[in-house]
Amino acid sequence: MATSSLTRDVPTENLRGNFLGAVLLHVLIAAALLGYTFVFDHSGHSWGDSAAPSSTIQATMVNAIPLPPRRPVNADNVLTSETPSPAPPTVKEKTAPPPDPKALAIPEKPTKPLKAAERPTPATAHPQPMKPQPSKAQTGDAPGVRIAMSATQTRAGTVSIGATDAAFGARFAYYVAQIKEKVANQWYTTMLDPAARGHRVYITFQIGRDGSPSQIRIQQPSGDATLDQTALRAVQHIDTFGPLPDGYNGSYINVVYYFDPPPAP
Amino acid sequence: MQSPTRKLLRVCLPSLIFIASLQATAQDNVFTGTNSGATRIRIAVADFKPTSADPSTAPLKATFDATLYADLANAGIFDIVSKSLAPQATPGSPSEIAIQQWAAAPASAAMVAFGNLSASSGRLVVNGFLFDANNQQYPQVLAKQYTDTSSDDAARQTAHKFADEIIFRLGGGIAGIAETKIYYVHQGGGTKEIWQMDYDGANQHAVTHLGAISISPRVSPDNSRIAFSSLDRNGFQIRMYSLLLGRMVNFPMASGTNLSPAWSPNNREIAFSSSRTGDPEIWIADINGTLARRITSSRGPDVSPVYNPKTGGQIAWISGRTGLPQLYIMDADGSGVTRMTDGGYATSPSWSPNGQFLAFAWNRKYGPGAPGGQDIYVMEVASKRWIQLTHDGGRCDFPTWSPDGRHIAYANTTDGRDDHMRIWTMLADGTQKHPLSATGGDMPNWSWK
Repeated sequence: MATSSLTRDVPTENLRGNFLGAVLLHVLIAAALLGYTFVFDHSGHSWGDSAAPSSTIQATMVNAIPLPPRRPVNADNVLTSETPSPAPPTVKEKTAPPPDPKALAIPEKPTKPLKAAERPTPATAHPQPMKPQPSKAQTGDAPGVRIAMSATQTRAGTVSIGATDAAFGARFAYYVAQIKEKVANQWYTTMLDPAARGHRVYITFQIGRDGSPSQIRIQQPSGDATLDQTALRAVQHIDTFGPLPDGYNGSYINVVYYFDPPPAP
Repeated sequence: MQSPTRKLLRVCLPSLIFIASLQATAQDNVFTGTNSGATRIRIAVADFKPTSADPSTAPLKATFDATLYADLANAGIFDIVSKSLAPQATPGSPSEIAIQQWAAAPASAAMVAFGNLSASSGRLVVNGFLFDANNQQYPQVLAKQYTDTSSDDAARQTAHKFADEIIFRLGGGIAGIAETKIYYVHQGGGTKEIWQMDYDGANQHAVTHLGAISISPRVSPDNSRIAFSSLDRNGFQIRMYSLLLGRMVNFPMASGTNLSPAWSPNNREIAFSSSRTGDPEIWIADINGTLARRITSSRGPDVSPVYNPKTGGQIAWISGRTGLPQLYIMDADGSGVTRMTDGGYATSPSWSPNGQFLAFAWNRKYGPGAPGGQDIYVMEVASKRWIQLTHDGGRCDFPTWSPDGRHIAYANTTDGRDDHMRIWTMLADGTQKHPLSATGGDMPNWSWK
C-alpha cells in the first residue's frame, strides 16, 4: 500500500516542458553570441588587411616639389623623347640598272623654238620719301622676350609681369621669365571664386640682391577678395627667386605682376 | 541593422574613391594638356673646344663633356637637346658662337652652354659660358672660369661646378646637387662598411674599415661627420666617424640596441632609437652623445627618427605602438603625436628639404598572400595625401631626399634578396629612374649640401 500510495503520490514528471525550455535557452544563447559578433564585428580593423584605406585618398603631386610640369612623352617624336633614339639606318643607294643593249632609242621630236613677245622696258619708279617706321614692335616680330612686359598662358591662367626698370627686362629676359614661372607655379586657383573671372589684380614687390621678395603689396585690387588673396599668397609663398644676375648693378628690382583668373574649364 | 550598412559601405567605398580619383585625374589631364609643358627650359650643351695641343687635353675634354651633359640631363628642370641635333660647330668663346644657329630647328634651344678647355703643364683651365638663345641683343647669362689640376677627377668636379652654377641660375635659386655625395652601406665579404660616392654614382670608395656590420649612415649637415650604427660585442651601438680627421671619434656606449641616428639641421643634436630602458624608444642627445633624454614613452618599438630639415622642430619616426609599424610625426619635445599612415607596414622615413613631404617605404597590403609589395611613397605632411613612386620593380626601401628636393635615392632589390640590394635614383615625381651602384649597395643617405 505504502509503495502504491508513494507511487501514486509522486506525479509522473513531465520533462517535456523543461527540455523545451533548455533547448530554447541554448538557442537564445547561441543567437545572442552570433548577434554579438555580427553587430560588433571587428574583422576590418586588424592591420594589413586588404580593405581599402578610407582616410587617405590617392592624390596627384602638388606644385611644391620644384619640378616643372611634365608633358607626356611621345616616343615617336625624337625631339621630345627622354631617351633619344639612335640615328636612322642609312639607306643603301641603289645603282640604276644598265640599259638593255637590245633596246631602241626613242626618237626625239623636234621642238619648235618658243616665240618670245617683245616686252616694253618698265619705266624706273619715281623715288618716294621713306615712310616713318612704327616705334612699336609688330606682333610676332620680336624673337622671344624682348620687351619688359610679357604675358604667358599657364596652367593657372594668364599671368603677366613687368619689371619697372625697362632695361632690366630686355637685358635679363631669362630672369624675368623665371620670376613669371615661379609665381605662376605657386598660384593655387582652386580657392578662386567663379565670379573672379574677368577681374585682374596687380601685385607689386621688390626682389633683393639675394633673390628674396619683399614689400609684397596689392597695387590695384581686382574687386574680388579671393583673387586678391590667392595672388598675394602666391608671392608670399616664395622664399627666393635666385640671386639677381651678375651683370646687374642695382641692389633690388621692382616687379609689377598681374594675375588673370583662368577661363572656365 | 548597423552591420549590413557598414558592410555595404565597405564594399562600395573603394569603388567610390576609385571613381572620384578617376574624375580628378581626368581633370588634371585636361589642364596639363593645355599647358603642354612649356616651363621646361630647352638647353643645348656644345662640346667644349680644346685650346691647347697638349695630349692630355682630349681625355679630359671627353670626361668634362660627358659629365656636364649628364648633370644637366639629370637636373630635372631641363629639356636637353640631343647631341645629334646640335649644330656641328664647337664655339669656344662668345665671339665664335652663332646664336641663331642654336635657336633654329632642329636644336630649338632656349639656352646654350659652351666654352673652351685647355690642359697644359699640369693645369686645367675651363672657360664656360651660358647664352640665352632667344635674346639676340644681350645673350650672355653666365661666364665662368675654373682652374684646377689636370686630372680626370678634377675635370669631372669642374663640370659639376659649372652644371651647378647653371642649375642655380635657371632653376629659381635652388642650388644644384652635382657636387653632393651619397653615403651608403656596402656589403661584401661578410661585413658591411660605410661607403661614399658622388651623386651620379662615380668615385665609389670606402669610408670605414671596421670589419663589422655597420648600417644606417647619416652625414651631418656640415659634412664633417658620419653617424651610423655598428654591431660589436656590446650589440648595436651608435658610432661616429669624422670626415675631417679621417678616423673614428668617440661616442658613448649604452646598454641595449642603439639604432638609426639622425642629425638635427642645426648640427647640434642627434636623435636615435635606443632600448636602454627595455623598450626601443626615441632619444635625443647632443652630438657628443651626452645629455641623452627620452622623448617617447609608449609600449612597442619606436625607431627611425628623422628631423624636419626646414624647421628642426619636428620629428617623423616609425612606431609599432598599435601593432604593425606606422609612420608618425611629433614635435621635437615629444608632444603633438600625429599618426600619418592608416595601415600596412611603413618604414624608413625621409623628410624633404622644404619640409612639405615625407618619403617612406610602405607595404600597403601587408600580410600573407596580399597583393603588391614594398614601394616608395611620398606624402604631403599637411594634407596626408600621398602618391606612389615605384611600381612592380621588386622591394624598395630607404628613400633619401636630395638637398634640392628634386631627387630621391633609394635601395631596390628585384628578387627580394637582401644581398642583391642596389642603389637607384629618380626624380621626386618618380621618373628618370636609373641605378647608381652595383649590387651590394644599401641604405643610401644624401648629404645636406
